[in-house]
Amino acid sequence: MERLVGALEGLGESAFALSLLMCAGVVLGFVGIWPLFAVWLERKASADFQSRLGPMYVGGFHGWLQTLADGIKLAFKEDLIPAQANRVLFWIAPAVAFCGAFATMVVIPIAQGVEIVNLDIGIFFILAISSVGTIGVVMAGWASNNKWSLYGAVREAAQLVSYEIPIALSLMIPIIAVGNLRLGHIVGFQCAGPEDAGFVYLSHHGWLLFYSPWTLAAGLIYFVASLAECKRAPFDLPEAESELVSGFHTEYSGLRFSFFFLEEYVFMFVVSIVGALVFLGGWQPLPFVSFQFDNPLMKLIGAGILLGKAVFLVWVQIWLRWTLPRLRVDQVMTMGYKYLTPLAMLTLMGMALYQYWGCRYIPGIL
Amino acid sequence: MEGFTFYFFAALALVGSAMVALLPRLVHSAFALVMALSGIAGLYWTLGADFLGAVQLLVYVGGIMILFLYGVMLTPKESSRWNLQSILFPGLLCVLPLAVLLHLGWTGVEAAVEFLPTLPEPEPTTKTMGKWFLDREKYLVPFELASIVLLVALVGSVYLARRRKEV
Repeated sequence: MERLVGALEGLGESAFALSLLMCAGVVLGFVGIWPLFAVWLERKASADFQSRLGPMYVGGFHGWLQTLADGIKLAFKEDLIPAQANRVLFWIAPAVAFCGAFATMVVIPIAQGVEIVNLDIGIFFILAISSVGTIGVVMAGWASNNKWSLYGAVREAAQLVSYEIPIALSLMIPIIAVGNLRLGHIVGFQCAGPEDAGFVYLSHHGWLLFYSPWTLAAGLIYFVASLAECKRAPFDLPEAESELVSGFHTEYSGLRFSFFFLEEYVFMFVVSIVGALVFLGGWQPLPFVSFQFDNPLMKLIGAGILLGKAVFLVWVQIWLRWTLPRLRVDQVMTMGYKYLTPLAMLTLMGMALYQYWGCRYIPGIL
Repeated sequence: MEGFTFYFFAALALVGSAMVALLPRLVHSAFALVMALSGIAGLYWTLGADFLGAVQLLVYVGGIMILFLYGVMLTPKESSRWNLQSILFPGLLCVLPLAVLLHLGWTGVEAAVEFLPTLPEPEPTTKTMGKWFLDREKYLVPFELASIVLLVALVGSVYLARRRKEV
């Protein structure tokens, strides 16, 4: 992608704009296809957890085309707007919610040096832009003119504002070690090795998850808070189907409903791939042993490893959803404010002192 | 490209602000404010202030506006249509600063506003900002003072929201 943009740069501004549009097309394609797989995975996993079969018929092998069929069905459904709903806001809301998840993809490197833009604020951009999606959910809840939807939206607003704090703090801890916000640099730190490193070498730092006890704690805090950020069980209060019908998207059907669906699954992928990049060494397959990912073939393999890690984390999210019961509203708030936020602050202080005293090369000892 | 992004975000900010002032329903105004603030974040990005733009989104759109909406959504659905009388006084108040700004923009007074023919090459600002905030010569004291103000606000809000003993 980088080389492509570089080659087109000589052709002037319109070609540059065209290359940006092509990047957007690639991201849009991924964003459209990924949920098809994720939803199928989720349905198969839930069936396994409950000793059922799940989708079995469409497409032959374990119903792998079931989600595509469902997607086509959703696209052809009638686009209902409740008579008393606020038409304009009801109409915009799914798009706004989708934008937040969609725009984060722009800064995510898929292999060494392969990303759409290499922003200096990298990870901070993801934090900032993903908060826009919340506005869409709140908008949907209010515009539906339905009590269930409004409750869902209010819960969403409260939950996301509270869990943004531990997420931001826990992501700051690895940044203290790395000293750079670019996602590419964060991975580069984890596979930094000696100058004359060959194809395989022992990395200086290893994965950030195992870099120090503080980053290990930060990784766990990040994972729990990210569950709440993408409204996954046990934090799926905004839709809580046994209490609120289906929360903020009660009144949505057809294609508009599927946008919220896409947003949820894409955001699950985004938090997972960010977790994989920041804490799990990105495209490096092993914690303390690194490989050179510099030629196209190795980059392709690296991208595969990274995607594998992200899909594994999404799988853990699915696994948790079908294992844990939903929390109560007050328990969610207690979890966020009384446990995760203070823990994240303590970890941040611990990491700062750890780094200050310079005990960074002795893993496991403060 | 730059021209297009600039005009796009400027239009977003201006139209959003106009809608905040003119829409009859409070909730619509609040959503229009989201639009205006996002437009301003986009303008920061166009001008190369990447960190500031992201902070604008994170703090205003992601934080303050959501709390705002939280409050506004639960208020009764009243609408107040504006008419000539109701906007006469605020309108008069706006005329003077607007006239000054328009005059400056029209004549392009170099002393007040320096117009650049092209935008400067955007530079990463995060590193410089981090260094300056912790530099005793630069902004260490304002930075620490701001954090004390925030701490006071935090303690105050906890005090206000605490469960009082029933008397």
